[in-house]
Amino acid sequence: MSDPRTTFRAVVAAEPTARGPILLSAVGEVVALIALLATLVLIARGVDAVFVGGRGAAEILPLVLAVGALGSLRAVAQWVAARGAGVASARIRSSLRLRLLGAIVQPVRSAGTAERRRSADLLGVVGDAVDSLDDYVVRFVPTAALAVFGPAIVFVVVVVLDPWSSLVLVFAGPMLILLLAVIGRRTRELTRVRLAELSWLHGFFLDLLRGLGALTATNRAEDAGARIEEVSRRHGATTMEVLRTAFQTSLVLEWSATAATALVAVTVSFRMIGGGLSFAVALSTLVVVPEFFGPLRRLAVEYHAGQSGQASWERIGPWLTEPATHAEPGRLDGPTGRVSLRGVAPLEFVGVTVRRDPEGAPTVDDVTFRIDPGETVALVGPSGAGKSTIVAIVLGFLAPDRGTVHAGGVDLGEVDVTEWRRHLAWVPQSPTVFAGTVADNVRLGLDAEDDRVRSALHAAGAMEFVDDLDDGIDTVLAEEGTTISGGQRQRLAIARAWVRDAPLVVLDEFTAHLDLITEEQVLAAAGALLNGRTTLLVAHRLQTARLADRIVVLDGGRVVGDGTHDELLSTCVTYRALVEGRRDGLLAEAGSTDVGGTASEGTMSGGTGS
Amino acid sequence: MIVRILRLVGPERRWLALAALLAAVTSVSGVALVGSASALISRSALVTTTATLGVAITFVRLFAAVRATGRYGERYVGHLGTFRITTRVRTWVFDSIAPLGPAALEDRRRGDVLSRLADDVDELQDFYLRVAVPPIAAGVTAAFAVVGLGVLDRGAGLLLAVALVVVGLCVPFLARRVGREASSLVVRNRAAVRAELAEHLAGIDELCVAGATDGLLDRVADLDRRLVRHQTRLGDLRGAVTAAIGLLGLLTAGAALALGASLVERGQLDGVVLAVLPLVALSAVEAVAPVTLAAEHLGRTRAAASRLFALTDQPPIVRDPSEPECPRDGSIVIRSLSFRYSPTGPVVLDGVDLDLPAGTTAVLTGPSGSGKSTLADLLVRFRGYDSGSIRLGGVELREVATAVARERVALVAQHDHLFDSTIRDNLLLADPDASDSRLLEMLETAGLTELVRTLPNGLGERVGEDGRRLSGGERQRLLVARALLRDADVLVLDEATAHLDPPSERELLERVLAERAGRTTLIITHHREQLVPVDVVLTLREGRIYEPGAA
Repeated sequence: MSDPRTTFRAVVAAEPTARGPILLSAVGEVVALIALLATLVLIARGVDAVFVGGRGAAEILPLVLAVGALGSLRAVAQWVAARGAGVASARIRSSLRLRLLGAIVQPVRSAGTAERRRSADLLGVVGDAVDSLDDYVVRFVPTAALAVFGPAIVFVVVVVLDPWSSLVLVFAGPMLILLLAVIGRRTRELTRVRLAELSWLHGFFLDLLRGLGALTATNRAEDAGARIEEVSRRHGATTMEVLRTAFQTSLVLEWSATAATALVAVTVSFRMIGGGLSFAVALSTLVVVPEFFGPLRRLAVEYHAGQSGQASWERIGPWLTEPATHAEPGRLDGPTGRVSLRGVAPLEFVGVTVRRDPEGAPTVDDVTFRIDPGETVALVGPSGAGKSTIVAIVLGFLAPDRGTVHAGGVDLGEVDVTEWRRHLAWVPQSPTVFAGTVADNVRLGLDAEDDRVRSALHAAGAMEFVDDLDDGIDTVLAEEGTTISGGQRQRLAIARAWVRDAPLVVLDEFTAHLDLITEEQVLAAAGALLNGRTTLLVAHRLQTARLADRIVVLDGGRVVGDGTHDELLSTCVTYRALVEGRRDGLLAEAGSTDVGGTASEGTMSGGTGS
Repeated sequence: MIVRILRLVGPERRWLALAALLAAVTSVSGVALVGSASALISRSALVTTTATLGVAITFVRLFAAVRATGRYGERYVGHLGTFRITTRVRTWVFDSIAPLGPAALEDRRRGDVLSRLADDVDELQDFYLRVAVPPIAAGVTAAFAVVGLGVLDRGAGLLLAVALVVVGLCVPFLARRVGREASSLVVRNRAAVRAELAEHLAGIDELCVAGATDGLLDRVADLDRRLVRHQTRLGDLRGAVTAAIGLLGLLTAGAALALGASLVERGQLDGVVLAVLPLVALSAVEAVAPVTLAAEHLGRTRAAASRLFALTDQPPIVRDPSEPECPRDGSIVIRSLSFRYSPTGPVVLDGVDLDLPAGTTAVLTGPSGSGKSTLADLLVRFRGYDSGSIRLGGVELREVATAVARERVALVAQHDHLFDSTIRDNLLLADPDASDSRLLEMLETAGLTELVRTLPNGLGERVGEDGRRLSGGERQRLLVARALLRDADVLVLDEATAHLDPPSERELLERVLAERAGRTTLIITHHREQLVPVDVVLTLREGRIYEPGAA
């Protein structure tokens, strides 16, 4: 874990408009503490006036009223402190959420960040991590601020009241700092172990729940219950050993706080008997001294909020270092998008190389091919051949490390990504259905008349099933009960692409999840979309590839064949092997080749099945 | 409900009781320390030698020592108890769900509902330390402080009792009443933000390419603003409660001082104990304050518990017969089998007839959603059937013990699960006694020998969460190997090779069928073309079986 102080500063500085409320909150805490100390001293004076001074109840009434007034002041200060922290937290979280989303929708430039974006649990970062900062800002930040100022204030009060008693604190003060350091280190270690243990057990439990089907089918569900018990117990035992020692820091803290109180009580008593101290001072000192340790104890209580806040920040932080401008060009060090696009075709890849990490083997190695205007080109090759990477480049998620991509004679690296994307339509392997009506799903942010949406659905062969829905194109999808099948989903995605009327279409293994009957229907629908457009088609099944005008064969990140089906059969060994199925397990294994998507490659064997 | 939650803990209750006891002792000592210390100082003002202070000093030291040590014990026992209780609650939840079968969780598989179930379990274990213990400690301390002041003066005891009732009962009650709406609004709005994010982040690439992200940002900003508004309101409320409790403490102390002063004035109270009144009152109120937090927690744990209980209280989907019979072989005969998931739902299977003599190999095809997987679920008794008949080895499946049925029928389900463990562990699930050489044999059949040979840890290599370290094809091969290990009379492969390309798929199926020679194997696939030669090819369409192979 990184330094807690760095996290503290970063969170507090995350949103400039939150600084005021945070300051207000800290001031509120300090004022509340001062009011409390004043009240305690007043109470001690009151006791002194009656007990030693022999005053009557009526005479100390003003003092009692003052206690009420100061108590009210303290209450107001506490409320202000809470409100300030709440407002600060709200501002910080709102701002972070949007900045994170902004960073996520950024065109991704390098293969490394693309990989991170692909593998990150985006929802966990934008949702949970940001949410859990609430406790950090509301509870930990003000407490931490008070832990710095609080003891100092109490110390000053004690020095003024009774310099001798302050010696106890002079002794306890450095002890405290020492303890803070020890607690900081040991408790951090403790919390890390504990959190790791808890989350491991949580994951273990969840894994068994997810596998309940497998367990039931093998008659092993009962054993699994016993295993939860056994594994939990074993883990609990090891953790408790850590806890037993780690809690000793809290024991020391409690001991020093309590011992200081008891020590002050006894020493002031003795000094009073010696005549060196008045009762009023003695009692005031006694009631004020414990407050020296109060803020620290509160910090110990909020320690968990601090830890989980820090863990959240470690997930959030890396995203915020990305440059936050919206219309960046598609290249890492290229100039801003000052060149306007003249057309999408011919689309030319010239010597394109991409590496996931600087030292590793390139995922795409010196790839050169072109798609002429109106032409349909299929990309085929085994999984890991680099198809996904090429698609990611075309979609503007990735820029080549070397080489160039030209569209209509213009270097794509010089073109604004948003502008470029306006010219393309993408039908992915598993399209997402967003909550909203069928029409909303087809439009996807585009301004299109209902009639145009209908013709798009018609062209995609989706009108049949849409007509069967309760409210036609106004049917709300993704609600309980209105789920649509894989084939319908793909047809919706084709309608989505059709309505955009883009000159360049990317069809990305879009029939991989379909059964053959549905695939034929979807292919027919796609035919209508492709008519006259320039198309890049990533093919899972070779039947699909044969629909293309030309086929580009990739293997190991390189182009190993480029031509028509017949040409390739005679010239390209890899292609022939693919067609004849001689190379066992060579073809893409569906589900592992999403473009910039979510699925991951088979990292275990680094390649194919057998 | 609370009683039921408490009963769950079983024998671990003693840890809970010990934690509560230690918390109470700690809290009482804290108040007693304040009382004895202030009495000590007051007495010192009157005496001239330290000798007479002995008793008071001893008490101060005693309470100080007990308080500091008690806090340590409380934390230690509390955490120990939490671990043990967590174990129990998890085991209980799993044991309650397991007999219901996976179908009980089916409807909850959407989104991250399963992980919410696990979160609920975590929430529930918070109940014990955060909800059950603090009120006990507070109650004991309150009683002690009230009695203590009551001994000095009945009026003072009464005053403190009223204050403690207000802080310990009225404030938590009011805070919950007022806060309930605010917190449920927060929960609802947070869920809304999460849902919006979950959905759009899943399709974020498509939105980026379509240039439709501005709308998303606006909507999230909008939802977030609403969430934050409610959260701020809830935060204000919490701040107000903290402030109110603090104020009540100081007001009680002030009132106790005034009361004590008038008592001393009238000679009804010894001045030596005057200081005890306001200071004990103040520390007693502070000791009772955590009850409000516990009450707030109670709301959350109750919601979690009611979700859990609703799940575990479901009747079992499939009941074991009272006099179970044993299937004689691996034949399957189905007659007029109809099925729907709910009494009003669409008919999924509509009069299915099927004959698979023992040892038959069969392919069942059909478009997605035609009911193929449902049929597989019925065969392994994940779900029951009411209309029609399934005879396994000549015996009506309903009359076969579920454990026996599952022993006879092995299934590779469409979305079968691999555990986050080693290859070996995942295979041993099928046969705990299998030797490594037997595991390797099955891996050979499934075409994984090469993979296992190249892995640094071989069979001991971990496959990652749900087998994510494997490619789609490797995952499926491993699942097939696991099912083969079962050596069951009937093997059902439900789209078990869909992630392989057709040539590899064909080869794998050929090897599986060779391994299965003489036993019944049913291959469910959406492929229309025939991949491997089998005895019979069936098509399931609109809930009925057709036999194109016979035509």
